[in-house]
Parts: sequence; structure tokens; C-alpha cells
Amino acid sequence: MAVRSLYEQYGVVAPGQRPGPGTLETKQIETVDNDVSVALAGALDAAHPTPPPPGTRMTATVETVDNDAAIVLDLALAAPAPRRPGTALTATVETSDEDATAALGGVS
Amino acid sequence: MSKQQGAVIIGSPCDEHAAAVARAIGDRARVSFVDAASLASGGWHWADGLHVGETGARHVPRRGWLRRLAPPDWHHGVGIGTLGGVEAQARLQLLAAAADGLAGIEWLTDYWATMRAENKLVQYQAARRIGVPVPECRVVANSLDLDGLGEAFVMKPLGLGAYTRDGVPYVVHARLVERGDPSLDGVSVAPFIAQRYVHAVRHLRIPTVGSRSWPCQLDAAGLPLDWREEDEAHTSWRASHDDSDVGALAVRVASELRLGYSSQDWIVDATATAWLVDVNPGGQWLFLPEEAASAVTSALADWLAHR
Repeated sequence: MAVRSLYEQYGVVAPGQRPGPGTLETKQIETVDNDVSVALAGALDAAHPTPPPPGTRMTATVETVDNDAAIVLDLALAAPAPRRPGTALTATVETSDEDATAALGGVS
Repeated sequence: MSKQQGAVIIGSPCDEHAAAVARAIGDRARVSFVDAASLASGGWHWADGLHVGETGARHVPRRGWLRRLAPPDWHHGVGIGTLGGVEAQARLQLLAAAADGLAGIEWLTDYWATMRAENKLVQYQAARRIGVPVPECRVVANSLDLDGLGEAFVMKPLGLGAYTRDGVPYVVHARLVERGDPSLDGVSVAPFIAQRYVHAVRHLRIPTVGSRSWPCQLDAAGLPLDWREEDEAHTSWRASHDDSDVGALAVRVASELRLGYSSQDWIVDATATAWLVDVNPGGQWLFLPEEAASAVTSALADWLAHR
């Protein structure tokens, strides 16, 4: 995976520019733990400070260095590649449900 | 060269800071605006210097203030080497020549001093040269070279702190990062400043015009490292007459950088030491308390209207 600059990693959507409910968004978050559902929920919360109505389509990107997490997210990986423990992977999980954890459960 | 008169502001009358200064000048001087966006509308020509005004009434301004070369976002998405990029560069070349210190107009701050002072590394070198405290900083290509800056340090952009991606505007705030954080693998991609963390008790925003300064303070308690992340912080500043000594240092920093105007960010630690963290050659001041904001506006207007 290409190393991302700190401008990209630390950039946040400018205040007052957050898209309204129903807008498809991507937000990246990193985790080094096993619980991808927690990371995904965090990413969705960050992308949607005000919870959108149930049924709103939401997207969050979860970055993990955990091998198990990569397996959990296998279906969502954009470019599957040989994975070794510690390999950094990025996957996008989409949910149309407010409950990100439940959505992730569907993926796994 | 024809008789010089009036003032020119490189900026837009739609910019509230430029408009406030123009209003404060009133009928003391004719004020012309020009920037990258307005060049296409005419009202200027270059002949051994910049002439502004309508055809038949063109004149060379006596004094000028470089507020902004182009409106925010004007050049977003323009690629270097593209037709749009070449056209944008031509506009900026003209404005740079107009704001050159030798172009016949007396500038509050000329183009080159402005561009030079926009560079944080240059700012810090200038400040250290005159003995002003600046937190130790490094720019590295390998995060191992950050060892020695402490267990956590401040990461802040060396380049611009805002960009657009896929049509969405992003901002990059200064943040506290722990040594060994995985994100630091990205330091080699594009230079970023790592700076020793100084715990702020108070933030100071100090606008300077010539030899004058107007220190304003903000209680740092409960605020994020970068106070600009907190909307409420923008309206919580108050004038700080007790910080006139830091104001004097800010004037020295501005002078060292040849800035007629500056808006500087300082932090004061628990030992009452004031540290310089940023110099903005064209930074905003109207969010500050009325007492300071109006004084800065008047000082700029007085300078531009001076006969």
C-alpha cells in the first residue's frame, strides 16, 4: 500500500462543508486492535457527527494492521493482495443502516 | 511616470478585511482593487509599473497593500503545466511585479517579503536570529530522526493547511502525535513540521502594523491544540494590554521579516514564557475584539491614505 502523506492522513473535512444527510462520504480511521466494528463505528461517527436517519447510505474506510481484521473485511477489499501479519490494509465497508456494527456483522 | 495618487489593494472588495480598510480610508484617498480574479475585468495596464483606474484616468498608486493575490479557492484544481496553470501563473507574475518593492509603489509589505515570510521555516529562523523563543522544530524524511523531540510532539503543515480533494475541502490542523505513531511513516511523502510540544496556558494573537501591536489573548483551558478547530474560540478573544512586552517582540519579528503588517500566533506556557508559533503576513484580525480590530483597520487605512 502506498504511504500517504500527513496532509492526506491528517486532513479533515472543513467545518461548514460537511455534506448533508444522505450524501455518500468516506472517512478514514486507523486501528491496531482486533475489533474492526469499533473502528468502523468510530469512522462513521466521525463522518456523521449528527446521526443521519435510518436507511441513510453511509461509507467509512477502516485501516487496520491486524491480520484477522483483514479477513473480516475480505469482501470489501478493493485490491486483495497476499497478506502477512502486520500488513497495512485498507477496505471500505458500506452500510445503509445506522448500526454500523450490525452492518459489519453482515459483511463478516 | 505620472503623478502618483491614491492607494491600491491587491485583494477583492468582497473580502471583508480589504473592504473594512477601504471604508476606513474613506475619501482620504482613491482606492483601487486588483487581484488575479479581477484582472480580466480591465481597469489597469502595465507600463513601467502598474497603472490603475478607468481609461483616461489611469494613475500610479502611491501606496499599496498586498492582502490576497487571489480569492480563496480561485486556483483550486488548477494543474501545474496545464493551460489553466499557465494563465494563472501569468496573472500572478503581473501581480508579483506590481508588488515588487522597486515598481514605483510604496508597499506596506512587498511581494517578496510576503512570500518569504509565509514560509514557517524562514519565520522561525528569523525569530531565533533575534532571540525570540521558538519551539524546536524538525522536518525529516525518516520518523526515527524525530527522536529527541519528546514522547509526543506537534505535527503541523509546512505547506498550506487546506486543500480540495474530489470537490471536498479539507483542512489540516496542527495535532499532537506520539513518537512511533504509524502515521509518521508519511513524513517522507511531503514535508511536514514536527515541533516540540509546549503546553499552552494562553494563546496570543498579535496583529502588528509598523511599530505598533495589539496583543489579544485566549484562555487555552479546554481548547484543542489548534484553537481554530473550536468555533467558539474565534469569538472568545480579549485584548491583553499586559502583554505589551510580547507585542514588542512581535514587532521585532515583523521588522526582521520586513513585514509592514503581520498577524502572529504565540503561546504562553506555565512559566509565562511566550513562544512564537506562526506568522501570517496577510492574516485576519477582524475576529478579534472590537477594540483591537478597529485599531488595526485604522492603522492600515492611515498608512495607505498617508500623503
